[in-house]
Amino acid sequence: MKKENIKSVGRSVKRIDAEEKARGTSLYVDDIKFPGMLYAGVFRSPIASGTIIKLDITKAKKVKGIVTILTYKDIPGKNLVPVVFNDQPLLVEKEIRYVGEPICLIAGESKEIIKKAISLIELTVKERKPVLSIKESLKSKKAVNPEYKDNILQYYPIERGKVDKIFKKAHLIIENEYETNYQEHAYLETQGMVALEEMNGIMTLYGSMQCPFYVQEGVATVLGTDYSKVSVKLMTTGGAFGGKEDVPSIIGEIAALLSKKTKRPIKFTLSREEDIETMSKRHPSYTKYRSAFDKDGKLVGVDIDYYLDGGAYSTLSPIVLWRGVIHAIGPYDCGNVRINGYAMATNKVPSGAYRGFGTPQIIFAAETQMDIAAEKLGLDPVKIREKNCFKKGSITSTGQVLKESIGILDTIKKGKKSFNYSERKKNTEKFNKKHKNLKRGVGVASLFYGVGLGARGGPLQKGSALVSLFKDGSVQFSVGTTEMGQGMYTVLSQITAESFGISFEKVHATRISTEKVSDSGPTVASRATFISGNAIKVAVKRLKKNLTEFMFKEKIINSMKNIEFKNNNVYKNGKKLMSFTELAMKAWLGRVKMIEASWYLPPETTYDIKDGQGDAYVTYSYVTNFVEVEIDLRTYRTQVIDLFSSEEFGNVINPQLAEGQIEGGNVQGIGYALFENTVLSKGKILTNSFSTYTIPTILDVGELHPVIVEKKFKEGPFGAKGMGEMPLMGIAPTIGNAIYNAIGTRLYKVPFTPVEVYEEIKDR
Amino acid sequence: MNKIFVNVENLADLLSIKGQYGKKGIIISGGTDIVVRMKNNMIDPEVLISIKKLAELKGIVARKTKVIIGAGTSLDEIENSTLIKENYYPLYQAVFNMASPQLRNMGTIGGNIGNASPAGDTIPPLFLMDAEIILYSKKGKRSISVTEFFKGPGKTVMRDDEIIHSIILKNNYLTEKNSGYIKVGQRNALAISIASVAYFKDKKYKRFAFGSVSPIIHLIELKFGLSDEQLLKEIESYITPIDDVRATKEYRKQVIINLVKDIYF
Ligand SMILES: Cc1cc2nc3c(=O)[nH]c(=O)nc-3n(C[C@H](O)[C@H](O)[C@H](O)COP(=O)(O)OP(=O)(O)OC[C@H]3O[C@@H](n4cnc5c(N)ncnc54)[C@H](O)[C@@H]3O)c2cc1C
Repeated sequence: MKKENIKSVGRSVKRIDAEEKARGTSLYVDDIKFPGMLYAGVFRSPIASGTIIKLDITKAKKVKGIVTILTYKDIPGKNLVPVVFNDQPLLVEKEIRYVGEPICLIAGESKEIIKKAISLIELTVKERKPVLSIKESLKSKKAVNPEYKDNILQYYPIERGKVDKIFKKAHLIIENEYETNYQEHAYLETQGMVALEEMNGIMTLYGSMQCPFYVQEGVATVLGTDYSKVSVKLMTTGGAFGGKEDVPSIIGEIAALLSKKTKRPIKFTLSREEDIETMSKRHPSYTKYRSAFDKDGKLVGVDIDYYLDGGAYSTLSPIVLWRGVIHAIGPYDCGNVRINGYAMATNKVPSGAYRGFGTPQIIFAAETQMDIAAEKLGLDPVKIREKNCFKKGSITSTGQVLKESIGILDTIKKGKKSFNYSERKKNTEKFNKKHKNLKRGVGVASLFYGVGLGARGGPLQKGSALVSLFKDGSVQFSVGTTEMGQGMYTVLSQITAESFGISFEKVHATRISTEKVSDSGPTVASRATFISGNAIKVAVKRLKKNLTEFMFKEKIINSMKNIEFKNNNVYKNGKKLMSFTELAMKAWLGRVKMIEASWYLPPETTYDIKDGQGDAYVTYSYVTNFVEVEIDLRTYRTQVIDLFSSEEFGNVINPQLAEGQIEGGNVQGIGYALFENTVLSKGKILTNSFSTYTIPTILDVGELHPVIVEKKFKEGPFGAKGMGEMPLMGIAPTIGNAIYNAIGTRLYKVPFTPVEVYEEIKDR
Repeated sequence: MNKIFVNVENLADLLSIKGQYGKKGIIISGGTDIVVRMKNNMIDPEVLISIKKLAELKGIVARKTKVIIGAGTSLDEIENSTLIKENYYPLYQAVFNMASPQLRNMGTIGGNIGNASPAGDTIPPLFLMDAEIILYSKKGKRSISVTEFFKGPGKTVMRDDEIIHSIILKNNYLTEKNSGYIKVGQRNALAISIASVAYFKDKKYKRFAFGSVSPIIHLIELKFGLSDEQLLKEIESYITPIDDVRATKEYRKQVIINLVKDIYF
């Protein structure tokens, strides 16, 4: 007999989409075609800043196979990409603010024909001197956008304790400036959307995205139509990493406008080059970071000016900045904190969401400071972190008292042990004595991360789920967050199965669509497991209640107490009543309500915009990374040898998927730290392909060793928090600290390319 | 305009078609360079002549002290040839570190030479081997030393009616012990060389050829006993690196100096 313990949560069940991905049968946007479908293209600005004097599309219109060309005048609704502040037009009206800004939309029979038409559009402009960096933006008298005084798109302060006083009497003060470059999401599938009017005049979009509800809003806005006349459906999404949070609205708006006008289906997919040049990326940053320590190595004060390069429009910068500011001092209890965070406007493509959301930049600065302090204080870098890190009752920089599920110290301890820290350190020293040109070093860095949208998430902090039970005892569900490759369908299937006490195989996830559930916010902030998992639990609870009431009504049970759903059966007082399948059939015959749409609201968060104080996030996850690297002093190249990422994110729903997320995030972090270097000229991105914008391959990342620490979080579904972003966030300082340990050179600029390392050590 | 694609199946046809179209007839071998250039609108060939099916241009044959490699031989075949690995180690190393397995299955040595990029990885090793490039045309064949063949980035002495037939390698004593090819790219695979060094160490002298740091690659022979300064001067006289999105010229120069010093001293 089969052993009766059907468990789904905590097991490494196979991804439900593993086979279709491996076989290549998954349907992505570019795989779908509709009869009569046209292609879309965009005529874009060749300059970073200026005014349109004349736009002539007559020649382009005459190209055979061109069906329509639209300018802003042809937009029936509002010329707007709605995000936070609503400052970004879809199409340039007069003022150009970045290279690649859309001016005309074109629909044609093929991409080649569209390319030809684009080359025939004549644009006359009056060019202005563009603002191309944070420093230029701070100095510039001319505003990039008149809506933003002094080019400040957003400002957030945190003020806590007595900063000036503590700096006056501190034992040690460390003050440095840090810079980071852009980072590309490098999702394998570029942006894409297909739009068509399906039955009843509903504008329907099939796309690759993280938030169908944003796309719905965008499309309704430009078409000037009802939200309820727009339906957005998720295709298999080939990676997103934040890059498909807000910009798919642009893609969707373009496809929908052209479809509305031509009355034909429109496919709009980007080439890699167009995607890199015109879509969002991680904000470049500039940080002035001052830290104060007492003589025991306790962090007693920080004073930070943090600047992000937001690009020409605010898009998600306000929220990205906020998260950066909250996480600016790291997982440490420090009573005296001053942070001034600014998102600056520049004449560049708008920066946006990216795994880590404004934190990797500032964590790089914070954790480099920690390392410098350790050295100056004669403390081991691990010790200084153990000493300062959050414990139960610690207070964050926003004044939040931490009460539960605080795993930072555990990640340090377990990581240190797995990494074999002391032994390894000795071995690298031996290695370095033996080798003239090769130098090895070890590095460590810690971080924390607020799970979910937090207090600035406002009305988006909610989630809904639709769960329906069939008469054969199988279950189908849908939620408002999306699957983009991270494994959400699988994890939520596990949660659904576990909640019903039935086999994982009996649960099936359906396509995410605005037609099924209500606006649940975006799939970002490591929130899908938490938000949608809890929404599912609410729905399942209701369904189980419906079934229990039915059994009571039918006198199958004499009271509704002590009913258990487990092992594919139903029990009362520990005694089996019947199988779940039998109950489902009986319930169907008895006309029981077998579908529930649910609603989940996370616990309240607070935030005072004036001094940055409040309970910013529901809970936090924690990471400590350990790395060993080798630097070749002939070529200045850094090779990762071993990376141990020790992470605590509540209880684990699927260990293998969690490890996959850790490894994937680590690789992206290594790319950010060592390889990925965007180069621009006059605001135009030159590194617009993977030949010049180098992301690491498997040969570049060394051995990855995920280390998981479990610490139950009661509010989480089966004790889970969230974990998608942290594996990337702290890799740059971990590697930077290891490089310092190896060769004694401090790096203050990400990425640490060989050229950068050479520049830093050449004058030594 | 109608575009023509010709799939030639024997050498005589190739020579006559190439003779007929001349400059307009562009040869496509593995296509891993040319298709990228077409996609990026850098060229728009009227006539593409595919030599993929041409068996006469494929294969590696040993002849006494020489080895002949057909221009259409895939990089993968060269990588897996023990003949090459044991006697022409720098070429093996160069190919081993090129692109990715997929690219090495498609790409050919004739294509790497025909593309004539200063970053072409098979080229510096050929200098150590005093290689000869065998060119064919309807008018006959000629043999050009690799030191004479290249005239600048993308430029060679090949006439419009000529094709690369094969490459002859000499000096079959380049082993793992006395020679090598060091490639510096932005990552460990799938990377264009930023700087590279092919080297051979003898009892009397040391030979070098550098990739990616000058428009034309040179063969450099250095006697023993040079001082640090003399060595630096020699190196500097052969290299004129440039700045691009991948690296700076100072970096390129320093890397060559570091690598050569490490080998030389
Ligand atoms: C992702 C990627 C990575 C790469 N990595 C590397 C690398 O690491 N190192 C490197 O050196 N290169 C690299 N390359 C470039 C390319 O793969 C090599 O140069 C390869 O050897 C070209 O061979 P092919 O047969 O594909 O050439 P093709 O593209 O077919 O031809 C290239 C040129 O040579 C001419 N040609 C080809 N055969 C003949 C012939 N028999 N006679 C006359 N002319 C001829 C063609 O007309 C064309 O001008 C890379 C390319 C890509 C796309």
